[in-house]
Amino acid sequence: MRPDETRTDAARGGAPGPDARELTFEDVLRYAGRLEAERKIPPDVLTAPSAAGPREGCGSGSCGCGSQGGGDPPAPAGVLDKPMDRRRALGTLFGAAVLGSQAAGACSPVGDPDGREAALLAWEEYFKGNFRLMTAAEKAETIRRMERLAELRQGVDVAIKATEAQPGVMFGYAFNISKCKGYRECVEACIQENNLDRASGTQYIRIFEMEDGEIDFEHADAGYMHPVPAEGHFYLGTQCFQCANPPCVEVCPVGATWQEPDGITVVDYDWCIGCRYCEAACPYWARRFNWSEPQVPAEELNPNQHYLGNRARTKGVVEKCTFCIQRSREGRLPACAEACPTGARVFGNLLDPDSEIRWVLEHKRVFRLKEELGTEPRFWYYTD
Amino acid sequence: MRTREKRTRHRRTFPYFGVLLVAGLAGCGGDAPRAGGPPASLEVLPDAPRALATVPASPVVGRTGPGGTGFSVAHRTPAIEQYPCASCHADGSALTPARETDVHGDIRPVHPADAGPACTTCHAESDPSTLQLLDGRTATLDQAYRLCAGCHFEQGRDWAGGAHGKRLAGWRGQRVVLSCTGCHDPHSPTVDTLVPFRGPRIPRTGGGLP
Repeated sequence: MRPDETRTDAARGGAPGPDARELTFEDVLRYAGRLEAERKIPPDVLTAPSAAGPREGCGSGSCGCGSQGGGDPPAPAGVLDKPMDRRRALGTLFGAAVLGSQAAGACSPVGDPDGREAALLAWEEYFKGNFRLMTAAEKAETIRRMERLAELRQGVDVAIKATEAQPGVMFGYAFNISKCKGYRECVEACIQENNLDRASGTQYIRIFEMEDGEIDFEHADAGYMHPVPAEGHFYLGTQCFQCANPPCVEVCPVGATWQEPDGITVVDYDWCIGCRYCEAACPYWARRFNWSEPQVPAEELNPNQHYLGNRARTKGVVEKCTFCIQRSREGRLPACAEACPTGARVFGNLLDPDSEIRWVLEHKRVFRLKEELGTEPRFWYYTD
Repeated sequence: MRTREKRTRHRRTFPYFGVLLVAGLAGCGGDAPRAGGPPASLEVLPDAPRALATVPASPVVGRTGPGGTGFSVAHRTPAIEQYPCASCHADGSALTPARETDVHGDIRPVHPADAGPACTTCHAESDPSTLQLLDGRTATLDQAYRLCAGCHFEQGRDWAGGAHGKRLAGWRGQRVVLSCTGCHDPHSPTVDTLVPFRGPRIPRTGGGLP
């Protein structure tokens, strides 16, 4: 059997060939460099024959607690009867063992069942793959886990979508600097919609107050707190421009950020290693890093979420504006465009010749920021 | 040179990922594990916004949007507190000047600037709830765009095209926009000065500027 064929079989989840197991591990290792350290685990542990039927979680009442005393991994009961990549195998094998030793009550009848379930789910979450490599079933699994985790940890009922890009859609944005009055209603709507960290005050949008006659970011004021619009000033907002040639994607060493077919550059928060290369590469300062665990009060949490958008982030990962992917892929306007009270924000499909965004591009005098860099932002500024 | 090599290798891996992903998806239709099936959110196709169903609107008269398509304008009259006029002036009576200040004192008649507070520049003399166009025709209050564009033709053109004004609900599907009076007070159209929402707390990278 050629290696390619084997790999395809394993990825399909079909019956494993005689040597499929070995090749599957190789594959996973190749993608998951961070698991390289785990190679010290002897292969025979992973490939031991099953004796006790399918594994059951601790919650089912028949967990393998008896085998945990010595700290050795428990026998992998039937784990590898079905094709399984290394990532999942490790998660399955050691999930119960580690949790059992760390959370003392994991198998005792008096433990906190919710805490135990959350710990198990979080453990399984750690071993999932890159979003782009997941099958539909795997996406469904991780979404179910994340929704349950939100319920267990914060008591909130969230709905996480994985809506894909629609064919024939390429999002574009136009910003009227004659109309923006600096009210920052877009900023506020963005914070609410995208569950931005309240503790650190993360904001995707920044509105610059500039003196009439010149676009000069060095002398612009983004921290104004006086009544607006101020005499002799205009306002220019920045956010992620969803570049057609995004340098942030180019520099990511792990493939945790990419451009979707509808032009939105997204981040797989669970694949990001927090190196912040993308943040440094972006010439528009559009990316934000979570220096601390993001805090969003449960009563303010937006439950309408997207895997690549406003779902929960963690400390140590990068996030960014996604044109409100959870809204825009459903035909709705991004929160900033909807909230703008002056109509300074135009959003639409660049591939639709009858769209407003196309009308603006064809009839108004437009410009983009730092065009000479060749990043090709899909975000234009125009004047009346 | 070294950089170039690295980049080439990097590019080559991605089609490879793609093949895996496609292969994985292709297998899903068959005997792939579907524990309980994917959540509904994965299978629901994006739908046009339903919020528009509750917005009273009517087709725009005499104008087309981008690409010559028709569009609708949201009604303004449901938001006018003292409308229709007949709710007070059922018998066609007028108020005394003293009472007029009490009831209609919130009207700041500064527009049109050079015409002064001349109500009949825009309102039909016989019926204030009907708008008097410059060419002699009349329009309803929900068709204020017809009146405004009589002078502000550039704004009228941009409004019809989408560069001026505000579209409601979604970027896709039926286009419903606010009329001129949805944002502007026709008697005092300049935008108000307001205290802005909260400002940024994190400084911009590489400088002391906020």
